[in-house]
Amino acid sequence: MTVTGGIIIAIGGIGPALSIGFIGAKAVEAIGRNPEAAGKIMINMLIAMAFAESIAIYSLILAF
Amino acid sequence: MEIIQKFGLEAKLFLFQLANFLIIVFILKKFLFAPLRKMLDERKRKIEQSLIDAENAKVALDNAALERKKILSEAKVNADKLTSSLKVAIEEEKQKASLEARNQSLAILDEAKHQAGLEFDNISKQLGKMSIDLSEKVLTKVLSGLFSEEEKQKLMSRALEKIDEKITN
Amino acid sequence: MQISPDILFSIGGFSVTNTVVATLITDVVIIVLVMLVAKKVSLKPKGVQNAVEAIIDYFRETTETIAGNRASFIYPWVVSFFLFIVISNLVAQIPGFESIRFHSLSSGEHGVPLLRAATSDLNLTLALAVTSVVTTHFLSIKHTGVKGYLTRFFSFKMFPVFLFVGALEFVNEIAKFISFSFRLFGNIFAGEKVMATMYGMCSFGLPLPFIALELMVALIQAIVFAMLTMAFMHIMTEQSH
Repeated sequence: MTVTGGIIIAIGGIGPALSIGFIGAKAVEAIGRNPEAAGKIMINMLIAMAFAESIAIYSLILAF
Repeated sequence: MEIIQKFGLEAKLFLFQLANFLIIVFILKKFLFAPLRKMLDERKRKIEQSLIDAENAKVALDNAALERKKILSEAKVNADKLTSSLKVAIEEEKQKASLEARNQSLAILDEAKHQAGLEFDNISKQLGKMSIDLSEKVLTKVLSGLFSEEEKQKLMSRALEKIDEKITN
Repeated sequence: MQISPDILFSIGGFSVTNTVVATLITDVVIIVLVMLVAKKVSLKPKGVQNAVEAIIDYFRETTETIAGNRASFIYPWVVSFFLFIVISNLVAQIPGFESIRFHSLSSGEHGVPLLRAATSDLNLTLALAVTSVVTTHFLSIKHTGVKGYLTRFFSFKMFPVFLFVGALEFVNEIAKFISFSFRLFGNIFAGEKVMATMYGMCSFGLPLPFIALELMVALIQAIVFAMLTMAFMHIMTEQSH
């Protein structure tokens, strides 16, 4: 039972982890290119990260 | 539905939280957002008003400065006019005074000359008379013994004639 | 590992859990804040009013840049979500949460914690998620009309494809409940467990960086919840083309 949960969250976490990494990298790149827009970029980054994160949350529920 | 049990989901608790949050939203909307919104509008209005006021004040200030400049320049022109007219008047007065003085002095000089001439004439006449008298006396004294009465008479008249001629000359 | 909140006592069938107590504390904090600010709303802000005003102004401006003139009815919800979540998250960082124990009839030898972060209760986060999603749909119907609202889900243009898209939208809406509630719950609950572990390992010095992390998570989760609500409200109240 515990092993199943571990496997679910481990596999389900790969995608969101990678996507959050990409989003963060791109956001930092964008801020570096246009530092005045840091506030707007930050908000959009957070929202996009939240969308990516929700996939991990679904697998977290299944893991329990 | 083992998951629901595990997470402690319960209808009553859920409804309590829902109601609780809705009440909080209501309170926030009614007592925080509405007054703040009103206040913000008020502040915005006030800022705009003060901006307009500042603009007006600036225009008034500019006008006042312009007015001041105008008045100053006018006053300057007036003063210039006044000083120039004053200068002319003074000049005229001066000239007049000097002219008068000269005239006066000339008159005095003429008078003096005239007086002097008269005096001179008088003196010279007197002098002539005196010299005639003197020569008459001298001649009578000198010639009394030398010439006869007839010759005396003749000489005398000739001399007198000569003297008269000299005087009239 | 116990996930559900502990029941302290029950009043007439309503079981008062430790998260309910924390929720009430949050309510009290919010009401005091509102009273402090609303009692003397002045043109020259100072103290608490300045802070609250800054938060409200920030969210209103952000909403305005995204949603334009629809911000007037979106931003109160956004700010409400933000304030409620951030205050309940920050209140949970006060010393005494989890550490003060309560002995009830059913509790064991060490009792149960008297206070526990309000947002680590799935009831609360699900209530927030339901409020957010239902309000979004309500605003959508109110501002785009029933027809505009229904065409989002049932579209008969290009028959088979868009029916499928509509169905996906429908599933997406259901998923919103789960993602909203579990994101907040998961973050705060995980933070709590991390803190418990750190205090268990060494209660002197070691938890400090994690307290900083928790404070950051508290703020970020509140912002994420508020911003997602705003984004969904913006999308759902937009006139469909």
